[in-house]
Amino acid sequence: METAEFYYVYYLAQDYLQYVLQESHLGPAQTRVAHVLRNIASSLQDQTEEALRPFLDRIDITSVAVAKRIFNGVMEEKFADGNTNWGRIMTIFTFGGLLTKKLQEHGVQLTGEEKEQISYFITEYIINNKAEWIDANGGWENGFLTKFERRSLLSFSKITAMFIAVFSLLREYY
Amino acid sequence: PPASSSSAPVEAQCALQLRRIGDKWDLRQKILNLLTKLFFPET
Repeated sequence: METAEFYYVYYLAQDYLQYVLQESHLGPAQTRVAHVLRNIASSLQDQTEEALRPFLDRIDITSVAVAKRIFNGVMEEKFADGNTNWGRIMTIFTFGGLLTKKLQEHGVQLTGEEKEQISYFITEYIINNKAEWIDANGGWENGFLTKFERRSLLSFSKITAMFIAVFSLLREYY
Repeated sequence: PPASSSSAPVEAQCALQLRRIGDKWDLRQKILNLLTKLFFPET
């Protein structure tokens, strides 16, 4: 039987995938965490797609089972250096979103069941491998939100201007 | 599935890219939060 924590993450994964697929019936996010995840991860989604498409275009992702195998292989490799941070946690969702889009592009019919299976394997990975780290780092409410929730629109615009300046500096080193 | 052995290098490349994107985003957010604390302590 799945735990409450499992269903919490499962909802986040499901909501995020629906958001990425731009499903018309999708209403506002039901929780603050889901809302912030939609906003932040979708900014990362474009970067993820741009960086990974050249590689993913080389293989055929023709079923949810293949997507799951690739997802697990990539996650294992990504965290193989032993480091975890919230940025890497976000890319679990963006990679799941990208695989879902690739399935769609390959003409795989994504019914509710297929989308549930994808949300399920994303959740399974997080619960089995990252739940401890997430708990130790404040959980979704106190860790993730504290780090990623924007304080206010007014301050955010000021911060953004400053951030652009700092980021321009940082880019010189990447 | 037949794609299994041929997809290994692709998986490694994807993992590397995701690691880079995640780490960069994490650092960016750390700096942003630090700036917020420094310049807008009331928020």
